[in-house]
Amino acid sequence: MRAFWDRKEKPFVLIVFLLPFLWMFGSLLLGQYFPDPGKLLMRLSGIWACVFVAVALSVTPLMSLQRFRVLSRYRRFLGLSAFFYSVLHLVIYLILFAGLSWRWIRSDLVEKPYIYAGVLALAILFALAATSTKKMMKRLGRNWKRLHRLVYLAAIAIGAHLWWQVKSDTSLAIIFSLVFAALLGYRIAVNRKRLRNMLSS
Amino acid sequence: MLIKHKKRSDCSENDVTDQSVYLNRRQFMKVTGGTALGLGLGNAFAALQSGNPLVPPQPLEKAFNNIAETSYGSGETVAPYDVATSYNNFYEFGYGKDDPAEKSGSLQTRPWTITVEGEAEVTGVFELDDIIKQAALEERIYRLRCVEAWSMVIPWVGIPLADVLKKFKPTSKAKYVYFETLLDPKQMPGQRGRSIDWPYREGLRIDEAMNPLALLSVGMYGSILPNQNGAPVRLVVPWKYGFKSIKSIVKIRFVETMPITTWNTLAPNEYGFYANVNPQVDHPRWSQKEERRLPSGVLFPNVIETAMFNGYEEEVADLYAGMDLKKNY
Repeated sequence: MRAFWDRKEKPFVLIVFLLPFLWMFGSLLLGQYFPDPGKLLMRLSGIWACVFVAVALSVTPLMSLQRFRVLSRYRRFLGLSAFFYSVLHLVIYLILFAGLSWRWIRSDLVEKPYIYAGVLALAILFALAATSTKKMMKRLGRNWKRLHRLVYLAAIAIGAHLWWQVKSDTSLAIIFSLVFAALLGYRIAVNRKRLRNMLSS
Repeated sequence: MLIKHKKRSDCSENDVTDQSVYLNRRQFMKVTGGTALGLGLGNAFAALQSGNPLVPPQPLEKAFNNIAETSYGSGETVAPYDVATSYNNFYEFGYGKDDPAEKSGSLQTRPWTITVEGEAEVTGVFELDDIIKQAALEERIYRLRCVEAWSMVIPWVGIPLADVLKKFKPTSKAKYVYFETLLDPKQMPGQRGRSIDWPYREGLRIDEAMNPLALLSVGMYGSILPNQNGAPVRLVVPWKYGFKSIKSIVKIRFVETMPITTWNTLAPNEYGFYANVNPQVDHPRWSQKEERRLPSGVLFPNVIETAMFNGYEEEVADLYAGMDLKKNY
């Protein structure tokens, strides 16, 4: 745990990352999301999960710029925040949206493809969060990096999760697909040679 | 008890502004009870309004002062007026649930005409005021089940759709009735968006339209419709998902073949022409077995089982005798 709090400002950064949650929770208690908080909060928590995934994925591209180097200190924080908001999204679905109705949850889980995509993304983020400690990094060695590349798959799954549930407003799906595509595309462009070697060998 | 006292005083303020409120005292009591339930956690929503503050225009005063009560929906807990008028799907004003309440001020609801055409003996352009004045207004408390798995109970004011349609004397060729919403991006800013092919279109089979449950609504909560709820005239088809209940109607056409309808065109595998409330047929992307009856409590929703035909099986099941409702969803 010491490593986690290795810098004095980290508790404050944590509070900043928690601000959206505190804002949503406060607004919920004040009745801002009345009369159907489940529906609105599903959307809001989902958006924040996407934002944190996108910001975490932006760290590597931004590292090439000197002034953004500082971001790398908080990369783990950003990833854990993405996981936190994804879990929040799930909890809101279970309690505020489905009212813990087992019939409702079961029929969603069993039959609805966009839920699979969300569950896949959440499972990946869970695995990454669980292996985010320095100890796990050491233990997994080279495999740690391989495992954590799964975040790209998570981003694709999130994109599918968004597109699959479009009713007629495509704006959210478009925005996040473009952001994720740019962030993944950057990596493909940078690692073109390595990818080509991998494919040809 | 404290909360109830507060609510009562809210109501009495409204009494001053609106005469029809008096007629609906019975409902007010129910609304009050419902709000207290919805509160769950104290008085966060103490400011909720229960009655309709809108005043009917002078030519319609008489009609709205003589709304006949009906037995429909007795025993149901009516949604507070503020809830029913601030949580709407009316994409002509935006995709958000609060967009219609915020952006529908630009809609001009008077004068309003309805064009009647197609397979009927009486066709032409009719003044909505005349249609209302010639009819007897009824109040009907109906459950409204949205295809998005939430529901509300609304006290509508209107005319049985059959009474209106019969006046136009549909011919034997009139197998379906087609309805159209106003098309005017200046009044309905959401129509500037291109993702839907405006105007909004809906339709019913003629026997569905003639069913006594189908209502041509011109008001709610004892007075006229607020813009965000489909003013000045809309359909209410309570055994079907909410999107069938087309708002701000300007055209009625009697036709021989099944008409094109908006949501069915957008996603035919998700939204059928019939769109009957049916817990056995899920939306491809979410379950229809349960619904959140709004308003939800602060930290927990009011989840109830969805009933076949939204609980109106007795009245409408005959219409679909012998039909495979899994295919004709």
